[in-house]
Amino acid sequence: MQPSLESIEDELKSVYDKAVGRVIATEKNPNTAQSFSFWTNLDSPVGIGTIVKVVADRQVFDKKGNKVDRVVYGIVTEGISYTDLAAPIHDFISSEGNPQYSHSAQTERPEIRYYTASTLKMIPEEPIQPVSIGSIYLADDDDIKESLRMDSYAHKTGIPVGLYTNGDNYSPVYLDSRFLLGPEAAHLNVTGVSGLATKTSIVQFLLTSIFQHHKDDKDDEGVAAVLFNVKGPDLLFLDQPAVELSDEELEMYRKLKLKPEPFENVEYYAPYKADKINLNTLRTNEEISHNVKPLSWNLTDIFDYVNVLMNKDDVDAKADGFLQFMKEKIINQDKLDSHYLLHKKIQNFNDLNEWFQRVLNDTEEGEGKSSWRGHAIPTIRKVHNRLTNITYRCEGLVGNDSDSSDLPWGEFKDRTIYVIDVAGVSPLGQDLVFTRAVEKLRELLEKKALGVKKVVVFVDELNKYASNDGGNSYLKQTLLEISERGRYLGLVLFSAQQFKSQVNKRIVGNCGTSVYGRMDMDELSTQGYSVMPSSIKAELTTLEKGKLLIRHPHFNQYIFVKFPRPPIMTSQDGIDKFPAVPERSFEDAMVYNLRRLDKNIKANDVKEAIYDVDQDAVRKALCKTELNSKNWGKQGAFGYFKSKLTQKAPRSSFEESYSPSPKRTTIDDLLYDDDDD
Amino acid sequence: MLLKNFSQYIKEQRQEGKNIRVNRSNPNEDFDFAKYQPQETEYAEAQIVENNGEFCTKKIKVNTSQSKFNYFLDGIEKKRILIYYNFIPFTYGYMSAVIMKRTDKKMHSIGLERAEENLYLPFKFNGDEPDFYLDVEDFNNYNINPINIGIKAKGESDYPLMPEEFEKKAHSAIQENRRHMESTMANEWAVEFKNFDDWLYVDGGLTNISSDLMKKANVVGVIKSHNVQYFDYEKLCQIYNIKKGERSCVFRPKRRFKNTPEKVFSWYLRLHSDKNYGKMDFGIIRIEIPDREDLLSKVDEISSWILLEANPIAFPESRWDRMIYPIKYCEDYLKCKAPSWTVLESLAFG
Repeated sequence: MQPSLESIEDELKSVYDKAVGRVIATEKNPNTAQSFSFWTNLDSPVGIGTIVKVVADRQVFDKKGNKVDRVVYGIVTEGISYTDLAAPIHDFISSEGNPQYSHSAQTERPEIRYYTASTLKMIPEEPIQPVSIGSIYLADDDDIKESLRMDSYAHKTGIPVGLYTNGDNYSPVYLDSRFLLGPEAAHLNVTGVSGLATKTSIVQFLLTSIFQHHKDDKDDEGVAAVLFNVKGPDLLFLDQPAVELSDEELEMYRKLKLKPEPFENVEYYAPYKADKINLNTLRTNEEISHNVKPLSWNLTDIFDYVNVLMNKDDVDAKADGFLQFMKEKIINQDKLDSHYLLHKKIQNFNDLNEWFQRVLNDTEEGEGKSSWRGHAIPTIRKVHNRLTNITYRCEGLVGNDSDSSDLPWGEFKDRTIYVIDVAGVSPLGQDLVFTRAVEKLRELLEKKALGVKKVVVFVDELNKYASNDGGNSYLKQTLLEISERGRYLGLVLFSAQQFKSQVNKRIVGNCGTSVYGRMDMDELSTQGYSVMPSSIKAELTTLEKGKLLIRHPHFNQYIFVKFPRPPIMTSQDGIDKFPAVPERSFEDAMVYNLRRLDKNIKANDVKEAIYDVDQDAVRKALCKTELNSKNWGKQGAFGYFKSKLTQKAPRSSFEESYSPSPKRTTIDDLLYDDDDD
Repeated sequence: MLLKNFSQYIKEQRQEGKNIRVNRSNPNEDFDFAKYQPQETEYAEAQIVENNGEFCTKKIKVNTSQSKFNYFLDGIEKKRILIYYNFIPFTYGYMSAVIMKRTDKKMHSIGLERAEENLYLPFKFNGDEPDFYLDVEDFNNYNINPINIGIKAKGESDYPLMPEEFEKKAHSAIQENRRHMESTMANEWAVEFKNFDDWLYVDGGLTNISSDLMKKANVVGVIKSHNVQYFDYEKLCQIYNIKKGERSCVFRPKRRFKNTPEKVFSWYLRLHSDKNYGKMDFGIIRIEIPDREDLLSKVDEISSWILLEANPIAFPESRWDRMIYPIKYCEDYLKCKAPSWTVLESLAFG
């Protein structure tokens, strides 16, 4: 008995149940090994960025001679749709020029969805042949792993970066930590328009992912991150939980096998304001002040980086020579050499100023002297001028005295984030902070003396610090150095900017992984995006929040992924919950600073202890207390602080301290003026 | 398979030193779909069944927004001379037909389709054919069953002898095969799919539709070419001057060579206006329905459905003014499935 048409249809339906399209090729539009075309139904969930699987109609022989399916994975890069309408005029005539009439058409014209996909992977991989005719299937979790070559590393070195989504199907996408944190490749660059919180969010999310998924090698000492907060309160609440994550976001975390928790270990560093008592940060709320520390440098800390603070005109060959001379012979030298007028160890700007005075006096004594120890007098004067005004140009960050409060160089801890808040610092000061911090990291990583093996450094607004114009700043050189050599050292640069085209090409070129958020068409029309398919560019201009385009060495095409909001309080929520406290008086600031170290310290005790003590002495005592937490012992922070307070100045009597106010003119003065005379 | 076997035949005939010439003319020249070929005008009679037997035209009032046609039947044919054996043309013919359904304004296949390919040759059958006619046994050895075109039609005294005659005969045979295929399919539709409310739109006349189907089913045939004239000059002028949306009165056609009128009612209808340009018959179709009283009362309704079918337009089909879109869709469907000449040539000549 012949089978009925219905039963044949049912049978076909079950066989091709999952097939959503068919590969097609014409002479004019043939398939190649790199790309292929296919059609789908109108209701099929295929779109730009969808990963599809082709199962060729004909099987092939593998190396062992067994017949196997030929499978090709591809990602949709272009899509078009059209009907059998030959020209627009035909529809116009058909509708008699009346748009309403189109609705009365008795038959709908067939509409085709025609897609072009770029090949991600072929099985078997050799010989490399054009994609065969076959059926198109949507890729499932395993297919995604296979197509993006994640199957080889996802379980070992995979760092979840987000979810590839297709309708209701969510598949985790992993970056390979060997290609993200080195040594194979390294660095990450994020581009996207401002205001969508994409750039900061993906970095925060990725750091969460790295901290939770990065597996240490046997001798690995762990991974830490140094983040520069350059805008308002952007990175100031990394240790606070997100206000509310939606069920969908929590499900995404579950799929990615990540705990939606904020960073456990975060340390904040901020320079002082010009008053040298209040920290220059928005994280001043007492509730969250326990991990905020001052960042304060002295002469010896920054002398190696003074070039950052000088412009090109300042540092000519002569000035550079003199600075080198100072570095070798003058600054921080234990051996006091009268030949160089070194009567005391030069440890701070006060000492340096005194030394300069001695040198300049010396040059004035001998008439006709045009140089001192081989260095031209005008050069010495210039360097003197430039160096001594650093403390004014970087007020709050660089101090005149020897006090210093710095990052815990050599004692970096695994899975810890060190945030340096430079949002309120002058651009020059920011340059100094970046350069010194990064150089220090590089130096210690090179010596394997940092405390961790890998450090991620996040620099936002990279186009500001490493622009592609002709300028060749000290900081740009440092960033270039990291991008080119960092992966061998374990120094990984995570950077972000609005316009990638404005960043030095060598720096972004060295980034193994690139992430793109929503972007402007103007930016996308620049040369750097010429290889990106036009439909991907169009998609990028309307990209929704939480969705990104990723390029990674293992993926030979761009991949769209969705990621949940980071499990971290947003800056806006943070500021609402922990509003910054207005500038405090000296006494209150000291109470605040000491309570940062120990919440149990009582305000009155502090006020009593510092009453009538010289402010500089109080600052010094605080600085020593902060630096020597290991030596507090039983007396605790406050006891230690009190012990370091220099002897109180004797209380002055009223008479001594009283100075009469300027004489005021009274009516009596006017009346009796003549009598006095 | 036919052409693969044929390929073997040619190979062996060549080895035997037979005079075989492969037709290398422009591949698209002869191998085309149902090309319009002017035919001689045939004069016939018409019995007017409306308006007390007086000829008239009338405007159709379209009172509905939806056509009730839901099945559409169409067929295509292709032909090409593959070789000349001495001077006998070996004609390859491909024909296919389909009935497609429309559901929610969307056309789709219901699995009711046929395709066939044949070789058309003159061969000896009765014994009185010319000597140069071929022996059918020669082909049976190659598993080829050719269609005989070496036959005398009614009223012809001689067998075809010249290449042009063979071509005409092959062309007629291919057309006849296609019509037969369409009528067979219409009957299958009647058995398998027809419901009380179903209406089948046939591209072409109803001549070949079985009488059983004519009695029971809702079938409407639409003829796009007007080679048969049923009226005198005066009435013909009136027909050619009807405006868009107007029809002629209903008549029962009667071919002169037949004794009885055909079992259909027919009328003319203009689908598109010519706006004083183009040919006289621009947009004019002739409609046939089974000669049943229940259908006669629906002539205006059927006309209004066909007028509705003019949207969307069947551009860029050359006969768009008389073709409705679902028929164009059926044609496109069949064309997409038909083999290309490149494929056929590679099969036949390796």
